Amino acid sequence: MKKQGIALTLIVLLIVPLSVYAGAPLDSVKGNINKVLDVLRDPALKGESGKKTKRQKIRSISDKMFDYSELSRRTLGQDWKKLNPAQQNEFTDLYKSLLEDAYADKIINYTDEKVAFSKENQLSEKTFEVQTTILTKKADIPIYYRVIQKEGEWKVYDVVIEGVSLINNYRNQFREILMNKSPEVLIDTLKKKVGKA
Amino acid sequence: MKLILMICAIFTCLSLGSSQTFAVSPGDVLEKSLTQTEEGKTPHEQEKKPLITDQAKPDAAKAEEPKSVATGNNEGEEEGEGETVKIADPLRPWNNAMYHFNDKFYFWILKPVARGYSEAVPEDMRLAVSNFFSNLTMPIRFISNLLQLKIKNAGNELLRFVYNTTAGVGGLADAAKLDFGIRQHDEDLGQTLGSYGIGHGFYLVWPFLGPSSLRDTIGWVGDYFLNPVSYVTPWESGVGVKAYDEVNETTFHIGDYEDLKKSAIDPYVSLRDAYVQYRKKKVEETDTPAEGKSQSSIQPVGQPKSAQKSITKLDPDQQPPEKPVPVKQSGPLPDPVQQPTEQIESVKQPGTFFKHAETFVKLPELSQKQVGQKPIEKRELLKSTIPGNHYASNPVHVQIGVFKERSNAEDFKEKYKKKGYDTFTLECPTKEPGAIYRVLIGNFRNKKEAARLAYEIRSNEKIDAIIYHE
Repeated sequence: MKKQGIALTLIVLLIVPLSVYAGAPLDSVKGNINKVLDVLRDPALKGESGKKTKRQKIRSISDKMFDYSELSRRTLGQDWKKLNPAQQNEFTDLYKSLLEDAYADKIINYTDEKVAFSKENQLSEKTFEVQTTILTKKADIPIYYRVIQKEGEWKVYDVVIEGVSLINNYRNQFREILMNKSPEVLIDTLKKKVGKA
Repeated sequence: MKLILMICAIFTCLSLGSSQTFAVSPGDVLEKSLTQTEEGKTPHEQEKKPLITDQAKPDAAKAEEPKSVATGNNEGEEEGEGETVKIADPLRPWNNAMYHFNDKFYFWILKPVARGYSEAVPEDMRLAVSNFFSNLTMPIRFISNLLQLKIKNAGNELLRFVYNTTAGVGGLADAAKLDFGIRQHDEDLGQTLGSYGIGHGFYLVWPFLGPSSLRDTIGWVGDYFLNPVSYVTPWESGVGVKAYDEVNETTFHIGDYEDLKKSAIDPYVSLRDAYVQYRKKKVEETDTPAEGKSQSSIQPVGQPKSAQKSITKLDPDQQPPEKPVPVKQSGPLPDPVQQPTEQIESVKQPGTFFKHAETFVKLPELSQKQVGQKPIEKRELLKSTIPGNHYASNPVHVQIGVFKERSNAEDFKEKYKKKGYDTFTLECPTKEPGAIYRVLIGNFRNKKEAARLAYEIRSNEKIDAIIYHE
């Protein structure tokens, strides 16, 4: 019986080699989101006092969930080359704190929203799009996570909310700056934005 | 006035020629004279675009992708590039001024008014108002779906209108969605023009109305004539009604614009880009986000799993055993019999007038966390602190067991939690010192839903399940 099972598995693997991946991106995203939801729903962390702990916990989850360097590189696109390696690192750090500052508060205030995980689409050999929906009373908001496989793990490099891709949205903003200004200006602007000037 | 008439004339030409070939030629003119958005593409090429979803695009860059990932070199960045959506912005000074005007208008007038209004009017009532207005604008969606040859969607819109106007009491409740899962198909004439391959033209911000484009403005003019509210006399009342609708809608979005501003480096650019991306998606989307045949055609690899995870709509009255039980986790095992995503819209069996069936048949694996409306509040109930809002007045649960020992109750709770039910324990003091521990499920909006689940549990788990009502 067991042998048959193994044989069957092998056959299946041979026929559809890519199916090894099937489900893994979705499960990975789902795991991380459920972790976040657990933190948000933790009765011990209720009220103002728990907010700080919540934020820290969510931050540590998001560190594992996102690949910020991939995210930064894809955001800048061709402009990435305009930055030297040190600037690239600095940019990644600042961009990361910008995103964390911007979205942490919003996420923390979520209460009764539910998340539905509908499916995953393969975008390329190493990238998938995991489709989720936030179900609110008013409307269902589609949120797609684009993930890339890095060292056997699935890391998020873009979030698409109602068709609006996070990295594309920032790309246009950064590009306006980089069009006629130097990368230093971009980094200074970011510093000001995240309050590290 | 003349200008508006002219725009109307152009629009009428466009909408009358519902055949695509006709619509393309004016589009061609528009395209060549006005746009830089879709560089180098003829409308014919664009026409094909709606068939290709957002997801398909990176697919095209597939060849380069693996290399870039492996080496981490620049090719990967180019891949992201292809997706950037641009829009011409020749009227930037005007747009910028209008952006600032709207910004002030929002913070100084709209937001305070919406705040006050939302404090005075409960959420459910505001939702009803919102439903009422969106029911009224059915002609816009109906005509737009028709013009895009989305006959089925157009039919659905008509059905929804009839059903929501009658069973939904004049459109106050979205009964068609609750009872049959027939969703609204958001379409407008701007999208219709877009689906014909007509580009945005250029970005255009209107005072009060917000971001738009040449194309979508023309669409708005058409929408205006399809909106029954526009025919309210005197016209001042019509404007008043629309303003009220706007305020009511705003109450659901307070904070969204603030978030955008907070997260953006340049809010003007961010908003412009978000608008363009959002409209692009709206134009390209073939159907509800959950389905979309074009999506499934892109990647069959993830299919078995995704089909399994997809939203499955159950008919509560006749339930073949192979279908997953509502509120139950479908588990990680593939279930070939389970309905694929497309099923979401297909269950429209008249006679199954089970209200809100959707809430707990929606997503098997999710349901464990979402049985009730308020997952958080379940935890709060655990401590017997009933929250002061929303469903606090009379929470309804399903009780599956009562224990004298806390540990036994916890074990029982865990057992069924693992099965996918959204269980929790509730400590109830008894008259003599001590307490009993109830194992409960969910927080239901009404007894009907709870009864439904209790019935399911009795038949599927062979344990006693009753409605527990505080």
